[in-house]
Amino acid sequence: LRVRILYFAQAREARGKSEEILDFQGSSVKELLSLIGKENPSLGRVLKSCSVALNMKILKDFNKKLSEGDEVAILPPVAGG
Amino acid sequence: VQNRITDKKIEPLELLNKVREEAHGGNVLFVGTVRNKGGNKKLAFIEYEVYRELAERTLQAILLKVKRRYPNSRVEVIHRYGRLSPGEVSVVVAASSEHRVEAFKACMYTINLIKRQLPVWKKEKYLDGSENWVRGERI
Repeated sequence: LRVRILYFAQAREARGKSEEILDFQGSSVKELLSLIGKENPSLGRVLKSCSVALNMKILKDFNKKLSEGDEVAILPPVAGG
Repeated sequence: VQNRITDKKIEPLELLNKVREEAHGGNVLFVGTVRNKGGNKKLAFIEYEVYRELAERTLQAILLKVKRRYPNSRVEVIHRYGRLSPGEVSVVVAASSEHRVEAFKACMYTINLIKRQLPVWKKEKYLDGSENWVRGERI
């Protein structure tokens, strides 16, 4: 399953890049977050306070299943204005 | 694309003129600017980061919500990103209604939704060389 991940702000800094394509064996958003958090513990710490947008919709339920080509955006707490 | 998210300098009065109508006598303009300090440190600039596509969609959704609550008001919004110095305009909300009370309410409602929902992040850089992400709210 190939997904595109976008990282913003503190998540981007922790990951060291703003986006990547990931070949992923699991199926849910939760599994994806747990995988990228394990690979990079400082990103893992940031993820705890992040929201997620799946194909530009804010996700309420991280058990949501992913599909090929999905775009998953990692959104730290926002501070607009 | 509405281009409500921009890296260009914002002209607040231009936005107000977009929403004004002859039948409207109450016009409110909220102009958010960058402060010259963060906490007790002197600020050099703020780096605004945005998820552009989602932010455009979010603003559209916010304006629809505002329209439902204040159907007789006209409201427009523009939000800047990139590097902004103290005093520069970061966000503008223009609201126009028949009377002032509804215009103030529509404007306040809009800026509060923007603060809570827009995917924007701010990194403050200080004159002493240090930096800090502005504490935000979970979307």
